[in-house]
Amino acid sequence: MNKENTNTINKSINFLKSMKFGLIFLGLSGAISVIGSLIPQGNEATFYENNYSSFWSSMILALKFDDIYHAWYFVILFGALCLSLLLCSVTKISGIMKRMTRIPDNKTMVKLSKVDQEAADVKEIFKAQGFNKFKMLQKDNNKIMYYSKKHRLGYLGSWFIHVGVLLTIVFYGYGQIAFFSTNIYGVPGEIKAVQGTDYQVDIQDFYVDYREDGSVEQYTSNVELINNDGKLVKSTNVYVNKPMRHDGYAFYQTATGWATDFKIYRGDELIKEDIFYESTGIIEEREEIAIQFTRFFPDFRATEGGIVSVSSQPNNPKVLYTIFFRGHRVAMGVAEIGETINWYHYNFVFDNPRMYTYLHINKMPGKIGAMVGSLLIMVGLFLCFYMKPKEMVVMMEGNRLVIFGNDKNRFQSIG
Amino acid sequence: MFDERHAFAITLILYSLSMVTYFIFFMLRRENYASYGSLLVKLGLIFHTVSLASRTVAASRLPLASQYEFATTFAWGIALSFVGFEWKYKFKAMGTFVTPLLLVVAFYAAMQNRDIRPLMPALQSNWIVLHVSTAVFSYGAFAIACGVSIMYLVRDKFKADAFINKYMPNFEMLDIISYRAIALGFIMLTVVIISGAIWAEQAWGRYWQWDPKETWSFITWIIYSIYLHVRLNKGWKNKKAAWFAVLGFMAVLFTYIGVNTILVGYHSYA
Repeated sequence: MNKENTNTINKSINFLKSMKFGLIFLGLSGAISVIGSLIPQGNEATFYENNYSSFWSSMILALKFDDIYHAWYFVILFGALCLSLLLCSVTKISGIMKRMTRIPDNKTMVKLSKVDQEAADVKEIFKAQGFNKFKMLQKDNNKIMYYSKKHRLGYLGSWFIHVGVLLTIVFYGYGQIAFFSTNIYGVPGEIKAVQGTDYQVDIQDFYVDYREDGSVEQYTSNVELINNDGKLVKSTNVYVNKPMRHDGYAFYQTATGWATDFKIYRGDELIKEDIFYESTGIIEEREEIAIQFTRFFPDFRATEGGIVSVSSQPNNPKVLYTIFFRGHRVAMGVAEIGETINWYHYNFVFDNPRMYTYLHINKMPGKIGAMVGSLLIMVGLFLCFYMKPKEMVVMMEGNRLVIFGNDKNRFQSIG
Repeated sequence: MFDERHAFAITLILYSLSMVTYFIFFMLRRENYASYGSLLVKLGLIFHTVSLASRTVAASRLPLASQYEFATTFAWGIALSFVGFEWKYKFKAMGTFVTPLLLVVAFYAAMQNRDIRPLMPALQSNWIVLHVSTAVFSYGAFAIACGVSIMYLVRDKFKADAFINKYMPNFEMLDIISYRAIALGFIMLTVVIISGAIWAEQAWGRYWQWDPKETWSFITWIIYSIYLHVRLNKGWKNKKAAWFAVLGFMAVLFTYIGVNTILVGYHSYA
């Protein structure tokens, strides 16, 4: 490699690790985030076509503004930021360590004061400035120098922040790539397999605590986690803000709704029996009939404005259902619990209404790394702003002591 | 019966009067009006504290859970910070620049629904205290930095004005106060983001999901981190730094008010 190439590489590395480069990319990521916050993210193309002019919707879709935080340019931007942080952190650490351990050089310090040697005690001078210890050094010119350093860890503040940000971004990115997510829902008594894992969830119980004013205090699922061998792994209550954790998976209480037992007959013959969840459908392909559990009204009331539920309690429970035959909607109605609905030679009945629980399950590796990164940022900020390094030197010049400090604002007036 | 609503109404009146007296002090150059303004803010702060304490008792929790509660606590934080800074640095003109910010937030609170509602399940977490109280301190510190920076810019604009030179601290002092307030606000904002991420992981399953509030907190964090970088490494101070502090506070206001009123996300209650 010739000298010219080496210079080019060095220049490139210097630019990549420079503050200017890092700040440009940080600023760009902020600018892109502004766009992402103003344009709703993750919708279907039709959403943008319906809500924006044809020009803007085509721009949004072409520039990936609909999923901007996963767009290639956003990923590259953060990659470049990480590279800058990495180079900056690696190249600066040796300099920081030298600054932490070096003997202060009075030539680069601010002269604070001069005092008569006979009238002053070196120990007292250091003590007055908050230094309990100091060292003595005889310089090459036989001059005696006393020096002391405080808050040396403060030099690491900025480095900790940069490494912390780097770790946080890297582990967040890793978590995004390796992210696993699934859901289960069911009523008490059901055992649900967690797709993509070796576990099943036995829903022992689910209940909603209401306050006197009818608002929800908490949703609680009492669940047992079972492995593939049928062995009980964990038994706990899962509620909002208290997920169940095991083997890197976290089980979150996310939603709820109503379900009923459901039976459908052709004449007197039972052709299907299942638990029927609100907003889902049951299709009997051989019969070409489908029933949709459109909505559940726990406390049904018909008003001039339509049908409503006046409370969350099952005081007057009814089911709004829709019947489809050969793909066409053919009937719709409201059924009482236990009431048999007849449609041609089909009969069906909704029974035993109860609430189901909906659990979200995910596994996001890298959480610990991101947490360590965040901790480093906090430690770094504290060191940076509240543990500023303080260095003091006292030199003998003739019969006077000359006092130097690294920052005049951080020393009390002397002499 | 005297309750939280009455105390808050009196608070608004006192804060409004203090802004008026501070403006009379500044525009008509009547020194004693600055003392009246200061006294009115302190009285307002007392009634504001009574209002918050009454609500805390009535709700059996800290008032940090709704738009109104955060806004009124935020305004209280600004008022408290102002009284503290005024006491420490003893310059009278500060109120002229901080009380308008205080009133914007206090009246924003007054426009919100003030019913006391029990906490929804997602908000029932110990993290709410750390997350929201640090947000109050962070936003309050940035508000002070903004007010002081506007003072800097005004002083710079009217350099030859003897009244301004007498009642405003020197440029160096204004610059250092703004910087210190931003440094404190930045640390607090970092705590807000980190505690919010930990809480979000517990409640929603993801510690970062580019919710508009998260995103704008991140944007605000970027603005202030650029400020701190260029200040500490490139020596950016004085007028440029003052403009940066004002810009940063615009981002803070958008994060708080703009996101809640214009954008939709998980933080619709905050």
